[in-house]
Amino acid sequence: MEEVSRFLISGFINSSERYTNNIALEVEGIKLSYGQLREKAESIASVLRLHEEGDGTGLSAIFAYRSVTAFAGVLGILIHGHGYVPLNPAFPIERNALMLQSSGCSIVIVDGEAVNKLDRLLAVLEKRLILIIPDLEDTSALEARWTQHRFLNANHIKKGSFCYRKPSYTQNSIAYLLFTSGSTGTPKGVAVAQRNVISYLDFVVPRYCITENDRCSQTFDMTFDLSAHDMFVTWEKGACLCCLSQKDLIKPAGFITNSKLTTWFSVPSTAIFMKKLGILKPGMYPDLRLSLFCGEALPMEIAKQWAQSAPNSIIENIYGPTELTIACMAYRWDPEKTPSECEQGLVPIGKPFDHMEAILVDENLHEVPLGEPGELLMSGEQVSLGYWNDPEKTAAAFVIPPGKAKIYYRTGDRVRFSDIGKTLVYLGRMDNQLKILGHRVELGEIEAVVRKESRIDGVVAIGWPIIPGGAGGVEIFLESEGVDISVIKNRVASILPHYMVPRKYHLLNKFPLNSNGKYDRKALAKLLET
Amino acid sequence: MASISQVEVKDFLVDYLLKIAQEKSIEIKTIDDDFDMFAVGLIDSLGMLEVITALEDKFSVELDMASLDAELLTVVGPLSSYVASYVNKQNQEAKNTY
Repeated sequence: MEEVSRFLISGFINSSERYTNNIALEVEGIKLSYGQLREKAESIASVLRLHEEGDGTGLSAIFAYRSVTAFAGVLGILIHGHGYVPLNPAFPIERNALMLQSSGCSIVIVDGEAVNKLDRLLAVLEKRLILIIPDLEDTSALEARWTQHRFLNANHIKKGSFCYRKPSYTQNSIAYLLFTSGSTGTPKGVAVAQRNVISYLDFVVPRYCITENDRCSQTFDMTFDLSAHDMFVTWEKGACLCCLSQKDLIKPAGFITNSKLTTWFSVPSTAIFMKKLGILKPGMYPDLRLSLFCGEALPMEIAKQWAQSAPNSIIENIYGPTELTIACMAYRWDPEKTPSECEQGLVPIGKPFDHMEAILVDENLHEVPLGEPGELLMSGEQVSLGYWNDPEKTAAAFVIPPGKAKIYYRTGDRVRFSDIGKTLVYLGRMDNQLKILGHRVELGEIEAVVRKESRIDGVVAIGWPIIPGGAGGVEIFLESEGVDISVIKNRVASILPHYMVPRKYHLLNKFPLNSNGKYDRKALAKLLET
Repeated sequence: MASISQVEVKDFLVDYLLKIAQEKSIEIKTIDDDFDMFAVGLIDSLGMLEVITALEDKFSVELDMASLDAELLTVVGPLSSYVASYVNKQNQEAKNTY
C-alpha cells in the first residue's frame, strides 16, 4: 500500500519522523535538524496553501542561492503539492526571466541574498507574481515600488500552523522543471515526473547503501538536476547534506576533511581542478566511502588519482541527461580491470540501471550491430514527461523507433559497446552540443544570441580549449571587417549564463567553407590552435 | 636563477587581473593585498586554474597549492607571497641537487 502513494517528498517526511533530531542540512555555517528543516518547509507550504491563487501550472519557482531558504523552499513546494522550478540568481536576469515566463508559474520564493536582484528581475516581467520572502520581516519598500505584485514576508509565515498531509498530486505530476540549453536560442524546460524520480531513488539509495550516518556533499546548483540526487538521496535515509559554498568548491580539500564527508558527488572538472591544485594526493580523503562523478566525461587518470586519494571509496562514473532523470547508467571503477576498458583515456559510462534499457541506433533509428558505434537511445521508468509546453521538440526527441512499442529518448550521444566487459563507452556528440563544466551547452544557442546582438549573420561558436569529453569554454568567430566587439560582448554576457559566455571573439573577413558550402568549423577550430 | 620577490609576483598578478577585469567589463579601482579575486567575480574555479597556469608559465615552475589555505588562495597578497616562496624553494632545491 505504501508504494502506491510514495512521492519525492515522502523520504524526507519519513526521515523527519524517525530522525527528528539528526542534522539534515549544513549550509552557510548553519545546522538544521530534520525537525527544524521540516518546520521551515511546512511554514512555507502553509503560506503557499493560504495565498495560492491557482495559475493552473502546479508549479512554484525558487529564486535563491544555495541557502536555508532554498532548501526549505524546495521541500515546502513539494509538501504543498507543487513541482519546483529552480531559477539561479548567478545567471543573468534575462535568463531567469525567460525561465520564469516559460514555466508559466506565478509564485516565486526568494531568499535574502537574491532579494538584491529582485528589482531587476521584476523590471523585465509583466505577469503578476506572488513573491514569498521568508528572510525579510519588512517588504514595504518593495511593495511600494511594485504595486502589481503581492509580497509575503516572515510575518505572513506562522510557525506550527501546518500539518503535513498527503499531497494531492499523482505519480505523473511534475516533481521539478529544469531548463537546459536549446539550440534555437531559448532554453528548454524538462518536465520530470514524481514517478521518474521515485524510480531513480529506488535504484540508487540501496545501491549506495546510504544510512543515517552518512554525510553527503552538496556541490550542484539547484538549476543542475544532479542537485536533486544530493537532496533526496541524502534525506531518504536520514543522512546529513553538507553544502559547499562556491568558494569551498574552488579548493574543497578542507571542506571534505573538516565536514567529515562520507560521500562525494561532483562533476569531473572539480576533481581535475583539485589535481591541479595539488589536493589529490594519496591518502588525503580516507573518510570517503563513496565517490560519484557525473555530468561530463571522466578521464581515466583523474579516476585513478582519486582512487589513491580516497583509498576507502567506491568510485562510480554515472551518466544521464536531464531528460532521463538525473542518471541512468553507472560504471564502477576497478583498479585491475578498468584501465583496459577505457577508450580515448575516458572511463566507460557502464551499464543501464536495472529498470532502464539502452539501444544503439543509426540515423534511421535502426539498431546497429553489436560493437558498432551508434546514437544512444534509452527507455524505461526514468524517461521524463518531455519538454514543457513544446510538443514539437518533445516529439523529435522522445520517439518510438521502428519495430519498438515503447518511447525512447534520443540522447544525441555517440556510444559503443566495448570489446571487453560489455560496458558502454562514450565517444562524443552527434551534434553541436558540448559540455562545459558539466553543463550542457548548445553551440547553436550561443550563436543565435551572438547573431541577434551583433546583427552579423556569420557567427560560429567553437568549444575551446578542448579537454577530454568537452571544452573549457567557448570562443566566437564573427564574419565581419570591423565591428565594436565590446558592445556585443557586454550584451551577450548579460543574456547567457556564465559558463556559456564566450571567452574570446575573433574577427575574420571571410569564413572558410567546406565542400558543402557550409562554414568549415574544423578549419576555424584549427585557427585557434595556432 | 635569482630569487623572486613577493612584489614581482604581485605585479604580474595585478596586470593579469586588470586584463581579465577589462575583458569581463568589471570595474576595479585598485588591487591591494587584501583583494579577493573570487569575491568580486573576476574568477571562478576554471579562472583560478588559469591564474595558476599563467603564474607557472611566467615563473617557469610547476606549482603545488596544497598548503595554501582555501580562504587565502584567491587573495592577491597571500597568493603572491606563497608563490614567491614556493618558487624560491624550488630553485634552491634544484641548485642543491647539482
